[in-house]
Amino acid sequence: MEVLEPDKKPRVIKTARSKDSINEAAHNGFFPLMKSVIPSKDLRAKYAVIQNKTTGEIRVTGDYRTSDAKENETLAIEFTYYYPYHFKEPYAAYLLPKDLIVGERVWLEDVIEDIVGKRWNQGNTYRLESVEAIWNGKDFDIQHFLSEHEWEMIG
Amino acid sequence: MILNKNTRELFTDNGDLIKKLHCPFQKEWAELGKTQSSSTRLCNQCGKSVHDSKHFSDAELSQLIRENPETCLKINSHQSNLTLISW
Repeated sequence: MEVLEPDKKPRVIKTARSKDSINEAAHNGFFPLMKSVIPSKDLRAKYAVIQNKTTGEIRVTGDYRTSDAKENETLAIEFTYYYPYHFKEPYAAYLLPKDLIVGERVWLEDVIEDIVGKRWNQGNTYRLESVEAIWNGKDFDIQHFLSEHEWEMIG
Repeated sequence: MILNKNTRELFTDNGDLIKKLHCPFQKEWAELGKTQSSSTRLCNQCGKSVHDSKHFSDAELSQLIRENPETCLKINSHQSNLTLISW
């Protein structure tokens, strides 16, 4: 596939995340490229809950640096990882313009795939929200390479 | 060594499987307890030692896992003795 070098800013490809918005785009001349919304185990945030022993009031933290229980406090919930993103529907679609060309560089405004975009050294990871991509005729080749970012694996 | 990040399988450069990495607690190196050795840390969740694979040759790692298959390893994507496949 020949990649077409841009002579202008890449076109923005919109994402629709509901049946109605997908159908509306289809009526307006776009072809919805359907995708399942699949949560990735690589994306995670953490929290801990510290509770006042007397009043029962709590404070919630996601940062190891502010997790020490003070006098009269107790760690009610230890640091726990969870998937921090929520999408209303389990499907979404990239809205393809009819004149999209194979090899065209575009900007995906709202990435459907769960891809780690950033990592915090306390273990949290964050979704890649937008990214450049190349249309290969069937799908987008996302131009984000995790290998450029340092990560670690334990097991 | 060669790591398939999708399957989490670690191989020697000759293609022999060393182990499949798995941590049910999704630990990070920074969360592990320090030991006297800078290349080894201790998991306070399961009690296992975790070895930093950047300090090992393929043969040393293979022997380590043969002797104790439950031994855990840490891989860093930027370590110089690592090749990544199947992105």
